[in-house]
Amino acid sequence: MDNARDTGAGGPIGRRGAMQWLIRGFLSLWGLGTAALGISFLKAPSPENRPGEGQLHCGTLSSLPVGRARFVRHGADPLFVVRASDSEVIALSAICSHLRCVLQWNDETGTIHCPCHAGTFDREGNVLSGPPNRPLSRYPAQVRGDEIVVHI
Amino acid sequence: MVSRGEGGKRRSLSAWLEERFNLTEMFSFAASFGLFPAELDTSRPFNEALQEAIRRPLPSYGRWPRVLGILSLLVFAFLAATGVLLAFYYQPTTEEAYRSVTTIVRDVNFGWFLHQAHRWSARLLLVILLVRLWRFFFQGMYKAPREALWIVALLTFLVATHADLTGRLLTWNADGYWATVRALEVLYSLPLVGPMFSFLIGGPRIDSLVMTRFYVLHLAAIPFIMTGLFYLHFSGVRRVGLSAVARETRPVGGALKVHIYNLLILTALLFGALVTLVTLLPVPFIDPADPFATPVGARPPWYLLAAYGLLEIFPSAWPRFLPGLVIEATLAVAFLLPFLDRSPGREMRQRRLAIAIGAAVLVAWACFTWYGFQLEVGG
Repeated sequence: MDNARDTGAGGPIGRRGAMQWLIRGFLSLWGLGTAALGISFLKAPSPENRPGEGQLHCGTLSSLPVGRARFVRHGADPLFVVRASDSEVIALSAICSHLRCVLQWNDETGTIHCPCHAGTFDREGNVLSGPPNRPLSRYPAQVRGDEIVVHI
Repeated sequence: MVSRGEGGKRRSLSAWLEERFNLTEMFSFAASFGLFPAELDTSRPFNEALQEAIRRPLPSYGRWPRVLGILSLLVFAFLAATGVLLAFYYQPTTEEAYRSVTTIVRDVNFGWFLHQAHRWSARLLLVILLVRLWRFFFQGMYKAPREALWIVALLTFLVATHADLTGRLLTWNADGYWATVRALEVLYSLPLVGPMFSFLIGGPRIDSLVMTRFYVLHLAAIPFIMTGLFYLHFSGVRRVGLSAVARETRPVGGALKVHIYNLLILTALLFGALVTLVTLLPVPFIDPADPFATPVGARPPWYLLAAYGLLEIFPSAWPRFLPGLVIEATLAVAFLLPFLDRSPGREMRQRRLAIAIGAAVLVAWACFTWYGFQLEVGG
């Protein structure tokens, strides 16, 4: 007898239909919320938020001749500190923009080259030749007194 | 009721168990990993259900080329066992990993054997799964009602490559580290899927976060998925039935005993092959990973070389997602193959176009693999 009233053909859906709708709605929201929570959990915290990053001391200015570069080991982000002129210092990522090989500085030519596929960059990180098609990432670098400080 | 005295102790034990568990269902579940090729009626007691099932002619898995499926399961089981044992000593941090592996290989009793056997089994598993995939293709094992089995087989191979990839990094040696760097570059360049990978793995920089995720994926997530895939496959085979390979006029009959003996012999042969490989062709000593020095000849693992070659053969001025699209399109076609192939039957002469395309893809894949291999300067 109850069923006859809840057929809902063309009329109101009735209590049963409404309950079903609410329950399904609640379960879907619950499911979505759980999924969103899981995915959000998996999102790795961005490097800026990881503790221990910030300012990297990369040696003294006086020990780096003009036109030379220093290779700085730093976690998974090694970098070059290039002394472009007496007071100007450029900090470049030492990871090749092609396929992430670790780059090498060439003292004679003042260029950076990649041992993997022979890509070359100038001392400002622009591509000179080879397969890379993006310049090297730059980091802000400051000279404080004699100390070179790079902001990672 | 439990019958004491009549039929002896064993009868009463199985009857005792039969009252408390659905033994047929439990056996059916175990059999869904390759132990038994036919469906059992789980509403009947175990002995009855088994007797009824083996009265029908049952081709054994032990015959070529069907053996590839159960062989891959055996190798996977071996990998799981050696992997768990290795995990007793392995330390999953960037600082300790290499040292712990050295301890396993040098100091732990038979550690060298477990380590090498684990590595060789991994290589074997991939080869077996790939050969199985190609045999499915060339023998038309993707036609109805086996479409799902094809998709599962393809997924099993792809997931196994991920297990191999995650495993390589864990040793934290120069080979593994740089192979992973390259492999991630290949994976991340795929449109749509690439960012999902990047999200799951934690970015292109290989730091301790990525190491931990690789560890979790390699030990827990991927084996779980693989087990599920194997279960799906063998359950599907039990429902669909073993196909008579095109040339056979009727399946080779066998009983459960023959099947079990086949499995035992297969296990013995597999173990023998592994011991031979491990002792005659062990992995030589490799230096620890140095994230600041890229060694000569760093390349992605062999199964990614074709994708790598394809990515690099496109001019660098073109956007990177183009070759990625080609790779994804090929995979999509592979997955949808059962639905794209309209040929009427499984025979090779009925599927000429599909066979021709498949052979062409195989040749192209080999060419790109070679091209990707020789890309490294001086390696």
